[in-house]
Amino acid sequence: MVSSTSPASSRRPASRWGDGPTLSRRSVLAAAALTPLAAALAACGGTSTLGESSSTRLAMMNDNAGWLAGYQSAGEALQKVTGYDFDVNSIANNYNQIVKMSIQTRKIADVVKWQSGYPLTELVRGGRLAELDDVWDQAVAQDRVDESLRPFVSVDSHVYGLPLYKSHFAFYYSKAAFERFGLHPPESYDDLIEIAKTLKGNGVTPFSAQYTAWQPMCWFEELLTKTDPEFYLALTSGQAAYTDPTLLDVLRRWSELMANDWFTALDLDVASACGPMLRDGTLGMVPYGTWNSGSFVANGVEPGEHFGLFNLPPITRGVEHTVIVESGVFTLPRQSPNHAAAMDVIGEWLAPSVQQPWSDYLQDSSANPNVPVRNPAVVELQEQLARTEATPLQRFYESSPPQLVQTVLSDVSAFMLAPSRYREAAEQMARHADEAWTDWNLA
Amino acid sequence: MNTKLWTGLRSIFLVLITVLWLVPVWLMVVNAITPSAQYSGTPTWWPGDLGLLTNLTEAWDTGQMGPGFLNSLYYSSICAAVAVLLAALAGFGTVVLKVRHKTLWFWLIYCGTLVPLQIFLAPMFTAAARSNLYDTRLGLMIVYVAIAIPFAYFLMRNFITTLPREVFEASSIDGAGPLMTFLRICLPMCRPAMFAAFIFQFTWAWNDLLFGMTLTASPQVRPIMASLINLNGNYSAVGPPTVLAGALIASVPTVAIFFVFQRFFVSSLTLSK
Amino acid sequence: MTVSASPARTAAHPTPAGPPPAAPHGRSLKDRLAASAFIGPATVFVGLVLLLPMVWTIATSFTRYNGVTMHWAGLDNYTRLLTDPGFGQSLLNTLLWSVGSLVLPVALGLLIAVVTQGSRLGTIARIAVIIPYALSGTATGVVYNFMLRSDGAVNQVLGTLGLDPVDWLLHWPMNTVTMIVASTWQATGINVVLFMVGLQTVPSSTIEAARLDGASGGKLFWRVVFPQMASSTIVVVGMALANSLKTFDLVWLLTSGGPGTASETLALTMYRQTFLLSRYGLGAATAVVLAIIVVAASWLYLRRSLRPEPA
Repeated sequence: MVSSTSPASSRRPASRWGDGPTLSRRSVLAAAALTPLAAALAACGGTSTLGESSSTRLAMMNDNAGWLAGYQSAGEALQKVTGYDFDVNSIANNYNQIVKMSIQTRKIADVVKWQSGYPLTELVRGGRLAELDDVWDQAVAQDRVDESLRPFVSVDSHVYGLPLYKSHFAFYYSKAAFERFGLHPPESYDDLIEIAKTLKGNGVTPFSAQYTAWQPMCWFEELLTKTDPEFYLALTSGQAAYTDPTLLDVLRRWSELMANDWFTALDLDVASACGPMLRDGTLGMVPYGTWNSGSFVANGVEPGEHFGLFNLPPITRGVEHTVIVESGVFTLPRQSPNHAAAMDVIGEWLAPSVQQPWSDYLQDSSANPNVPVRNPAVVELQEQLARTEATPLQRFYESSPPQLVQTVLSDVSAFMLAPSRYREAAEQMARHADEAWTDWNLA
Repeated sequence: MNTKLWTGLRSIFLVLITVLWLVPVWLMVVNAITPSAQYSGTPTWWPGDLGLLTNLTEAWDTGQMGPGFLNSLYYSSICAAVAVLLAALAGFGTVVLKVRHKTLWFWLIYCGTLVPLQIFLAPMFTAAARSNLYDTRLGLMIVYVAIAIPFAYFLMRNFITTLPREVFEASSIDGAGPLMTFLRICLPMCRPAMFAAFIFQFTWAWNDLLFGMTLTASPQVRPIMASLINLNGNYSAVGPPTVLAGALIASVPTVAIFFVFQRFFVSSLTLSK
Repeated sequence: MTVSASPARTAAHPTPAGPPPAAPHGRSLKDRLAASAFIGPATVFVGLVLLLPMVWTIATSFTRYNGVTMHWAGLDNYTRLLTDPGFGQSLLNTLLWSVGSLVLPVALGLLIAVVTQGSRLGTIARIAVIIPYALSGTATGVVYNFMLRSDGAVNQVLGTLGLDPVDWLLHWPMNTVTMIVASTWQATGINVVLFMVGLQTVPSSTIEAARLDGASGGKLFWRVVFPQMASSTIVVVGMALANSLKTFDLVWLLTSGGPGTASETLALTMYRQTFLLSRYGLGAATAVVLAIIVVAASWLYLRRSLRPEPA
């Protein structure tokens, strides 16, 4: 038995600890020195601005820290007109949740970035958002906003959101790849298929696709709206079922595209990886939000030079041209500390002098139709949209209750990895859609 | 056993482990060095042009990492220290002192670490907002201390049970009260465990994103990880090299602390002799 | 001497104190006050900040709550959860994670802690293993994506070796297995450190004595050293058990639980229901079920080591 030696061993540990700390004592000192230093440094940092009133700054909450520089330059322009600047708080994770929770308290920003459509309705239901009818009417009177956006930002015929930008979902295409093989943006769906075949035949991956998070939406809504825009509206508003033959057709068409091996690996990170591939001509087309231009540019991928943008023509012959529109909004919580000032100031958000630096920063179109966009790829897209008289359709994300969007997109993602089982996927979507509508109508 | 063979096998195993573990670290560093404009969309294995400084500056500026860095230094060191001290007190209380229902006390404190932290978000946020602790340093620190306690307590308590009981008894017989016994006898003996617990809790608080993100909003209060995630968020405007450069900056203090304390973990105990 | 058996005995059964020979701290009012001064602060913190929200969560699990309006729902959330086919999958993944995490990072951690003792190469290996623990989740997420994506570093290496690329993250169960192995990279370091703290508490005289008795190598380790490290082992296994059942970060970073919900663990299911779907009641019910599983598992494991020693 080991313990037979114990008389000595029971005291040994103590002495080991006793003589051990020659090393650790120094560490204690290091740790002890670190603490007050950090405390002193941190004390210089000032404190929070949420929930405090100010006569020069409006606290603004948004979910995109990447846009900080844009908000700052737009804020400077806003200050020249109104005397108020933005104090920007960016929250990249759990943003929706944090807004929903904090809007019930006074610890809320004066201006809150949100989405249009159903997510806006959900927030309005809590009864804490200010109506912006007057601000809107004035902006329309001053010709500062496109009146056709009104339904997207209204709930029960009252305006609750002021458009933050007007983005489209469209296909980025590689200038290098298209020029090398003498290709042009498609005039019809058949053109698109021909382009894909040419690219594939020459070793270029025709399309990007990503299965994670909200990304399955990019292909889902493109194929759906270009097949039958009326059906899209019916489906998203709960008038049509996910087991409808039209939806099955869409999924089958998609599974056929995938069977051709025309896509990048489904776990590719589109936003960060596809820019360089478009530039180098190793990837042909990327269906994505036009707001990502700025991110491409930041990584040395230039619009006009490396990529252009086109809107997918109708898949079904004779169907009208449509385009997916996304418009984030500014909302004004009624309980915010500077609410009155925010109401006065926010009308100037759409003023050309504020929108120009903002649009220049985003490299995307302003909600003010009179502010020219300087991104040549977006200009190319706008010309196509005007030429084809494309009808704007709201993005899938904003067209149905958030619960439905989340669960159905998760089913679409599962479908992307097992495309041959599209029938089961559709049944799953139908089940989840029913659940979500029940929840939505109960709330 | 053949000593030479054993030493040889051991060396091979150690080299293998080192390589396997360092490859991801290597990729992280190399890709943080790659200039954003040269990033090809797939990982790079060898450094080309040096873009580290540009990437570091971009990460630092875009992510507003300066205040976050100081805030986190403050939160992590104070919260870890307070939690370890409270845990040591409780450990001493439930092991050495005569207390009824020791097991109950153990579970009461320890079960704080048993549920997924995500479930605390909603109730904590509501409580913080109602009590005006939302978006304040104090609010976040209270949460960090509370979350750090259960594991630190588990560690301290188990360590104290291995200490020879007799020294406490001797101290008590000499007429020292519980506080004296704790300060004079228990604390010095507990140093190894307290260091370990401090380092773990410092690292945990430093790397926490969940609560830093949820319970703060303004850059002045934000911890570093919340700044970092801004670089890597949904519509991040910077490429992976910049995100990695930011991650490198954010990893400096925790890696440094492990290096500083590495010597402390090295034991003179050798089994191979 | 009464002290003789102490280290071995207390280490193998690290129980709360058995009655000491001369009860030094009796149970007078003063002593009770002293005891509560020691245990009180920690308990108050944990109680107010962690236990109270748990009570709130349990209450919420019996309601239908979307963040704005709340209705009583009885056991609806629990029946809805148990009849959801996704729940079984989620439970299965959670169990896979806990088995995998007990096997890989714990066993490797012990091996590395022991093998790296006392050599220069060992110190380097140990630093290499500990570094990932100090890295943040964001860094880890980016690096793992680099490694495991279809066009990632691991497939690049396979390509150079003339092997076919593998879809590491795209299909279940491959993605769950891959992520468990990947988590070993980050999780092993802490176990190494804890085991090393344990090794340090083993008195060198004990080892010398055992050597004199003729023990060596594996026998010396398993018979003499390992039992003395019991307090470390309990901490490592206890934490590994609790942490693996709560697995969230890595899965969220790499697959977000996908494709669909195939690689979701219970913690992810709970998060998705609460935060993405605003079904707070259902999320709370999932949280309660998960908490019961973790507490039960921990209790089964720890009760033996906590049982008061017979006097």
